[in-house]
Amino acid sequence: MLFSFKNSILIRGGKKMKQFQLTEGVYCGIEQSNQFKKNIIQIKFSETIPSPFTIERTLLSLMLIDSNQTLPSKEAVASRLDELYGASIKSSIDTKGTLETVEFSMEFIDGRYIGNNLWEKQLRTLSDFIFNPLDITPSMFQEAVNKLTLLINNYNDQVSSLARDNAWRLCGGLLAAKCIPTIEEVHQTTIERVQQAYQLMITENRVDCLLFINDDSEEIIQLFKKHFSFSPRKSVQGEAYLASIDTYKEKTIVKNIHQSNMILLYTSNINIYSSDYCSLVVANAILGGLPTSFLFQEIREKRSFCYSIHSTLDNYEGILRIQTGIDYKNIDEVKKLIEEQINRIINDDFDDDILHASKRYICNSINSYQDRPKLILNSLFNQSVYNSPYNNAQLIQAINNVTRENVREALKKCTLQCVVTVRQEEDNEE
Amino acid sequence: MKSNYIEQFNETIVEETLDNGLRVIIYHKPLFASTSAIFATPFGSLDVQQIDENGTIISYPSGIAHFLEHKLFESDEGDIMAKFTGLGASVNAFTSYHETIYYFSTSDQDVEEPLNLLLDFVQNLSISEQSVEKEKGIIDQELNMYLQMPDSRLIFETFKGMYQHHPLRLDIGGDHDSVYATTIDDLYRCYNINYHPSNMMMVISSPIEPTKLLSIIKENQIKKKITPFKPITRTFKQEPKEVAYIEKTIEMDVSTPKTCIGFKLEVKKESSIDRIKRETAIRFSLENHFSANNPQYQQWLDTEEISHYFGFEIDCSSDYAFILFYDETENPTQFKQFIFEQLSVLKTKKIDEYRFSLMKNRAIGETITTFDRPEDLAVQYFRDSRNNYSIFDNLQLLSTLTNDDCLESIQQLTFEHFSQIIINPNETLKNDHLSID
Repeated sequence: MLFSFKNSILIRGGKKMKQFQLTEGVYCGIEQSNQFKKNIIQIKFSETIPSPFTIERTLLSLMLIDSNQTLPSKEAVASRLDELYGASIKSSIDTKGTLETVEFSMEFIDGRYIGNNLWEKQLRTLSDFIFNPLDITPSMFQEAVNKLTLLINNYNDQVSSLARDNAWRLCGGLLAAKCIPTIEEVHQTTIERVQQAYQLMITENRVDCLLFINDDSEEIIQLFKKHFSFSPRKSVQGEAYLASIDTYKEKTIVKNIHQSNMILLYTSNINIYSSDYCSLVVANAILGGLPTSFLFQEIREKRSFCYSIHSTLDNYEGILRIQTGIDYKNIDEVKKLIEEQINRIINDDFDDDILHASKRYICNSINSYQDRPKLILNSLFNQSVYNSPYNNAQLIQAINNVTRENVREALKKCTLQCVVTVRQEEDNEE
Repeated sequence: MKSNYIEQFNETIVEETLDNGLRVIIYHKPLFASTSAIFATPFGSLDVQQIDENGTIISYPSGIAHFLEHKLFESDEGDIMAKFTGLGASVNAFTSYHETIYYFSTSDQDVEEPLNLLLDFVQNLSISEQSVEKEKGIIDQELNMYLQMPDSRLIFETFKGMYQHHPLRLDIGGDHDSVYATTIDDLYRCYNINYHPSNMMMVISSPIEPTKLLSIIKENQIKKKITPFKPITRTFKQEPKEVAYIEKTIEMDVSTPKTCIGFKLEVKKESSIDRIKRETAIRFSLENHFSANNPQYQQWLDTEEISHYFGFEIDCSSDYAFILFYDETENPTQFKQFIFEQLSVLKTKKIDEYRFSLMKNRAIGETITTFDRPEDLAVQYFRDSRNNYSIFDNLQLLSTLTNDDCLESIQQLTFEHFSQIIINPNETLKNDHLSID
């Protein structure tokens, strides 16, 4: 473990980040900065996958920000957020590594810019959403089900999302936890199960409170502690894992669309704990992570087969994925070209310029996290919850040390395991 | 060089217009790690026909602004994107209805090279017939991508229904035929007219001293030979009040039917400031009635008169004005009826004084927090400047806006010219198949 959460201080770019444990299983990290006019507070509830309550937790994430006992209607919520000069409350659910996390996030302008200290009201507002929900009525429940159904339908209407979701589902195992629920699954749940999920979330989930604020004085910290008083719970630690898929899988979905979308999933056998993690990060940049990448240059620029093609790493699952939007008649040729680009890198057919450019670009991107408070909070969360072995400075150093041999070796470990194509009908050629 | 420190927001803004006419604006942000810069021309997808000072009309294929944006990333010395990546900087561009914007960002403290590169590649179009032909396939794939995005398709189709002649009826990227009709000569002609420094603006947000940045830009610009600027403006055939068609149904591979009603509003002859004020007033009225601010909103959801997809847009420019309402519904006729009923209510509804003060709070908060997003701040500056407006004028406007202004602005509107688009799910092939070997 890189550091302990017990009253530790992390150094980020010379700045001090306060971290402490509020109670057993409940942690708090505070980043103070005057760089932004907004403050951000995130409260994250994490549990180990596969969660028996994923659908219910998804519904909760929609319901809890809609109303509460203090603000019992949408109108009351809208008014309160406006009283706080356009504060926003958002929720989401995400699966990474072995954890599924429900996040509640509130952003609000710092009082200095409006000549009004609103801390008490701001913290109480967020606290009410989390601790004082309304009793779930059938109509509230039905509204959340309808909203989730709409979101699922809209997600699946996006061809690239549909391809990606089908790939996770096809691979199965822990990767299936990354899928969105099906409408049938959503319609099978009950109010009682949602209530049960809420109780478990509030009393048993690991909790991480992350604050990016202008003022981290003792007064504000005490105010925060007053409004966010959790009971002790078992401490859960997240882990990255290495996905393994038994056999190569392929699926084709035919739809009445104008452009096909293809996703290729490779098991990389490398995750954030692996010694060659940074090698794969650089390999991915050379292959398809940047505009200079081989996929972009060979498939888009030289042959005009697509507008969009890119490769991405799922660093907590050991997956490399490539996705592109193309005409169906070029699918086989594009697949062949993708394989050729991977082999080019493995066979050392790339120059030092692209290696250095990729490394420089990645390091500059990591540096620019300083200007993105949500990325800073993410990094803090990853380090504490997943024991991520790198802070940003260490990551930059490790990236700079990657050699061309490292890049080749990292890519050699990748095996194509799954291809999903959402294909246009043959008479729908444009 | 004019430097302005705004104590209330702890922001410093430096401005200078160079000898060649290029306006440079720098937000000095010492606490930020990154520099981001935009280089923008007010030449967008609506500018498919222009008129010069002599009255000569110049026409281009639709989508030419977007095509040009693609081609500027090519240079005699190689791929521009690769050059930026080599410097550790990210670069991109976008074309909208009113402008084309090129931008980069980097956390590197040495910005001389990327800054020069941005200025150089945007100020030097160097393309071949072969490369123009090659780009058509890429753009065609991009258009296909947007064509199958239900949300953007719904809006584009509504514009087509609303406008008979105005170029808003054309997709930003053009269409398959217009892209394939574009020639190298069209691109050069359009570039030479619309990318003059006098017509452009560079907006930078950076922790680096503004004087240093200005000196890099000046040194770059002084070397370049610039021809005299010939002002040019957008022109198009007079748009009638009537819409192109009242209703149209299209089919797409979607799960639920979607609909959008676009109201074509009268374009008033008024100053930019008056127009912005009127648009803000209308927006406030719409937000007050068609959002969770309205206690009835929950009832509308419960009785399924609207769904969670429901929303609206308003845009009042100098040559078009519209309001859109959209939703997912199995019954588009009922949705249309609902909108008309509520618009009648809206015309008699003054915003509650307290509610109005809260809405102003939100607008003020949202305006101030724009300073946190340097890229958005830069784009906003460019857009505002075309109306001789600024973020500070916006705060001033909000402080003087009254709920009487809002009611008056809504009451002046007529909703007689509208077009409704319906996207129905088509018959999807159900032959998903799975093969595992």
